[in-house]
Amino acid sequence: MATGPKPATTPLELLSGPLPEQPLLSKYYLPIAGGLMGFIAVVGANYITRRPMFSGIQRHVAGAAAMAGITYIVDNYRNDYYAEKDAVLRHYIQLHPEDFPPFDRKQYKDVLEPWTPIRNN
Amino acid sequence: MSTLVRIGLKRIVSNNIFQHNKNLPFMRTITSLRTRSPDEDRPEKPKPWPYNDKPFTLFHYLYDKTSARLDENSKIVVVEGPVAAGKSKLAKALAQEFDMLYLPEANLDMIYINDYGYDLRKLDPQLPDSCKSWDVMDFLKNPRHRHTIRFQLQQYIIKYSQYIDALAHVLSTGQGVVLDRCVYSDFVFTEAMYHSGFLNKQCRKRYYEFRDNSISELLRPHLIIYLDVPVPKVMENIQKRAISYEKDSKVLTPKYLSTMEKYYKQEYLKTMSKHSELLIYDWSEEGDVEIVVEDIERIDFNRFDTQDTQLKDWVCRLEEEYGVLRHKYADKKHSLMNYFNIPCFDIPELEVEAMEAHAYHTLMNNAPGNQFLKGYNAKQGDTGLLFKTGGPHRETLPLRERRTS
Repeated sequence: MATGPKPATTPLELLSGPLPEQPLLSKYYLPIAGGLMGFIAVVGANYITRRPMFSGIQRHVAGAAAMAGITYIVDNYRNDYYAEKDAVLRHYIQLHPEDFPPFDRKQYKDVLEPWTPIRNN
Repeated sequence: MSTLVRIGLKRIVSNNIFQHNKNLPFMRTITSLRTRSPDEDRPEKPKPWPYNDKPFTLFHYLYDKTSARLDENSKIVVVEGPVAAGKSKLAKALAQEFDMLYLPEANLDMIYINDYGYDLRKLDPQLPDSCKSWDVMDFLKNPRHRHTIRFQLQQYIIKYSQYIDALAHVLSTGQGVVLDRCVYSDFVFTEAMYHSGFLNKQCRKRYYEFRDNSISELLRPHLIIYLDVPVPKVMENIQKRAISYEKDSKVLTPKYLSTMEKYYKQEYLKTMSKHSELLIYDWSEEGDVEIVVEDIERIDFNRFDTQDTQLKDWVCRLEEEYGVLRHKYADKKHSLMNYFNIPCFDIPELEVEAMEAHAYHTLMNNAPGNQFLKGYNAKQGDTGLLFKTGGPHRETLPLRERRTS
């Protein structure tokens, strides 16, 4: 039995409609990964400059925070960018409905050619 | 037209009634503590710049002028001479007389003993033969060894490093420096080694390649004092001084010493006299420091034109030029030292196999005090590491005398 969201029937539906609720981890995935990267970068810098791994712990905190902040901003910017892009496309479809007819749903039996086995010997 | 106006204006200004003393000869020479006027009468100087802890950058250049600290004693004086001539004694005395900094002769103890006082030569038994330490003591005992070229190159490098420190000191603090031998005279030893058969032609050539690449970055000294001691007297001095490894050495033969003397006098002093002031003393019977001091005080370092070859290295027309030089020696030492970061694949004596090099690096990086940067070794008693961020700003050689036993 098929689960998940219902397949879209029109192009407009494809670009709109309520999005499914995101899991918590995927909501904050990028800032968390960025923060971790910042932390690891400072540890690496300490290793290269021959310092103990965790000396100057304030720099680890600052590095993690800075990277988390940057990735949070980048993530938001990216979401806004795609939201705007979808809105533009939606608007275009609304203005030119004649170019975007509802999808003609096909089944595989209509797409695939009949299978005719040919057997030698 | 503007030139005419300028010249006319200059004449009027220079004939001004305020310029009473314009015909007095202006002489700036090194002055000893006894003859110089008391500090209250001298123009005020900024405090010495802590060049070991603080960088001198473009920002600092805006408010800190290098030439403000330089005075008549901001000079580099080098004491040269054969073995056991009494150089370091004279150099120390001069440093005291002129209130200058005395830098002991560059020796490998300065790098073999690390910042925490641990002698890395203690690790020799665990090291492969190609990576064992080799300092002057080993050289004097066993000169026909593959490490002789490495030893001689290291001697050059450490003298170069010390000379950069000396320049940084003069330009950052304004205090003069007295050196006991310097990087410019190091080739004398290479020649002596070569002529005694301790170095081959290829090694000698490679030594000069390193020298020619790097030496023009430095400023030649203001004054060179050469202590002349005849070879038989040098031999006698060595016996009298009785440093265990010098006394019975196969190296310090009359032939070796006379080659040294020849190259000192015919190459070193000859080429350096084009730039630096020269004082030569017969030091076979130890002379009087007072006389040397008086002779130095008599030298007028300002008698040359800026176009002369004499003291040309030290001619700076703009404040900016001083700043650039000071930045170079005080902050860019690591880039200057990169001149020696060249592999020598053509010289088998300098090659180390990969596995042996790996063993060497593993051992060295885990030696006491070498695990981490200076100030970060908890095992050596450094504290407050959790919040510590700073580090040494430049690698200044310690003022460490050569050990004598």
